[in-house]
Amino acid sequence: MAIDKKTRYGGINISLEAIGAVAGSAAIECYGVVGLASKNSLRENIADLLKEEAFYKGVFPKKDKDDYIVDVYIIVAYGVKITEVVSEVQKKVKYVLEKTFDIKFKAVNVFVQGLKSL
Amino acid sequence: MKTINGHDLKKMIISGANQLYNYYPEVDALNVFPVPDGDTGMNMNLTMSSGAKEVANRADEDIYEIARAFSKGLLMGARGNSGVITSQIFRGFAQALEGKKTINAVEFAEAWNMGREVAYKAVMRPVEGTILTVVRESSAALLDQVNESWQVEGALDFMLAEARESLKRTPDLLPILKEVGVVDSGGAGFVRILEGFVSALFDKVIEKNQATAFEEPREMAGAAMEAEEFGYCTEFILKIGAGESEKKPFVDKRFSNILNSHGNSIVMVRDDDIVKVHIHTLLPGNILSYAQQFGEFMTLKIENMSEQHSHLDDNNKLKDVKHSHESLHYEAEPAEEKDYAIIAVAAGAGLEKMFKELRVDYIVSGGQTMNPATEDFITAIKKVRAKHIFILPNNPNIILAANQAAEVLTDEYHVTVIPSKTIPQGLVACMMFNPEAKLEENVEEMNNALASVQSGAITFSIKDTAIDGINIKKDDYMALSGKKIVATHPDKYKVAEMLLEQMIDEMTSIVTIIVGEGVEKGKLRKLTDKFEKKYGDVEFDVRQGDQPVYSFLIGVE
Repeated sequence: MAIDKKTRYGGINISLEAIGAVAGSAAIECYGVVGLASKNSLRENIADLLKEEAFYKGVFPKKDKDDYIVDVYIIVAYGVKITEVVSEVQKKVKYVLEKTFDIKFKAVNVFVQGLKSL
Repeated sequence: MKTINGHDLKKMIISGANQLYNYYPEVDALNVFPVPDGDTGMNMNLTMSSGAKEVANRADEDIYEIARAFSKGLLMGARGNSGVITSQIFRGFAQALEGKKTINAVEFAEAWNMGREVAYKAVMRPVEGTILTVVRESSAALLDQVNESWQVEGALDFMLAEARESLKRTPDLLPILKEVGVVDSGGAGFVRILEGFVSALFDKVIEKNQATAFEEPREMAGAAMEAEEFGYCTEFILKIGAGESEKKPFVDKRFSNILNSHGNSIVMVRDDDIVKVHIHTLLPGNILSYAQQFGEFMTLKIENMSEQHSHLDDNNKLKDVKHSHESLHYEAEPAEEKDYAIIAVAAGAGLEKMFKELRVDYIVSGGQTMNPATEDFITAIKKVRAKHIFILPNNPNIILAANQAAEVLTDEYHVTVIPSKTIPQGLVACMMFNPEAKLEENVEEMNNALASVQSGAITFSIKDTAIDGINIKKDDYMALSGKKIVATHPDKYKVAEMLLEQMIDEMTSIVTIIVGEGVEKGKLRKLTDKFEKKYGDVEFDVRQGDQPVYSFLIGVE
């Protein structure tokens, strides 16, 4: 889906890919995040890291009534405190998305799809 | 020293943790990246404390044992981004020491280098101009220069100097730092840790400077310091019914009433046959004798409060009993449940009074510089006892904590957070509240009210900086309209005038000016007189708010 916004000058439509790219690059800048993973990586049984142009496969914005929610699928480094990494990802993704698009996100759900030993 | 062993490292760690503790409010103040929430110092401090606690009781000679324990403590206690990074640095540091009893300067440099490697591994796209840069540059410089003839303290001193230089360069690497005019906060925290390390090697272990932090900003923000009159902070865990002699039956309510009549800042938590109590009292002996009638003490701690103390968690399952002076005290519950109750966040006697007049039941003390925690809201919600509870956070940074509190208690209480971002919004929302109306109507009316008022504020700048393209000098006053800075000037009345000129338009009917600390009435009167003449049909309402930090809060409707 895409996100629609209206200003008094007209409409703005932000694509899923755009949101995925922004949220994805915010997420991988977080310490402890090795990369984004595809949502279906569990089923496909390959925890491949997504390349930059495919970030949208690991980030899913959606609309719940009037609120926006985004799901982020990540792979985390082995040996870091995962709870902290995840909460930093939530904070950062929310902050960056809201700052970039001026859309409030009610929730950032983070899914740790795998750990990577380094 | 040619080599250092476990004892030396332990001293370094404790000294480093204390040095960071002493400076963490300063580190907090630098925090603008990755999210400017001002908690980097606190997070690093908690992380380091957890690491230091792990080594505090160990007496190993082997340096590896100490390093490993430290690394484990850091990992378990890691908080926030920089805390996690710190834990990784020392994880690598410890890995490099495996099997070693003592290390010399070269091995020391290699250990730091390993710390850097491990720290860098855990991030896909490292951001330069952060703590990572400081570690990388300082450890690389040390490894480059060090040789067998160096003393360990010399090596560390050299690394500290490099780290300071590197920290100074962080604004060149990370534009946001430059724009705000600060160095990186995580890097600054790391430099503080190194300072503590160096100091310990020169036989001067840094002590915790008790006067720092915590209580200070809270006092500033006008929190009630009722606790002052009570001399001893007393905490104990009581096991009911334990011991040889016959014990009296324990009745929660009666026990808490007795506590209430003997002191304040009372927190009492019961879990089966264990009771944890925290109280500030002049006569701790009386409380203890009374409590002992019901059981035996598992632990006891009494501290004279004129000697302030830091409160470290004891690894107890009841550790949610926290020592906080400003938190809301356990009091007798109101007799009846009302239909509605409102909880609002405000700081300053006048503002609190204004909210109280508008039927707010409970004020959580707080504002821009001291955000109340989720727990403060939980305490407030539990206390007001009403079918529906509204929370007015009155600050964008507090909405989240309020929402979290509402979520946590969603099964037991019906809580609605009205997302008011400013004090004027909160006041207007209260005015629209109607105790006779239905819940939905109230929610709608209050939410609509938020948009009906434009909020402005005048405050001063704590440093030279540039935001939104406006250059601001330290101690100058700046005007905020909504979130944007629209004007700045050394004179607060002048800034207020500039702000009002911008905010008032042909639609304006009422302007509410809430006056903070340090405002001269005469000068303000002149200003409002001038505006009243100029805008004949606008009503100017001046109220005394006594809020700290903001000289004026302005609501335009």
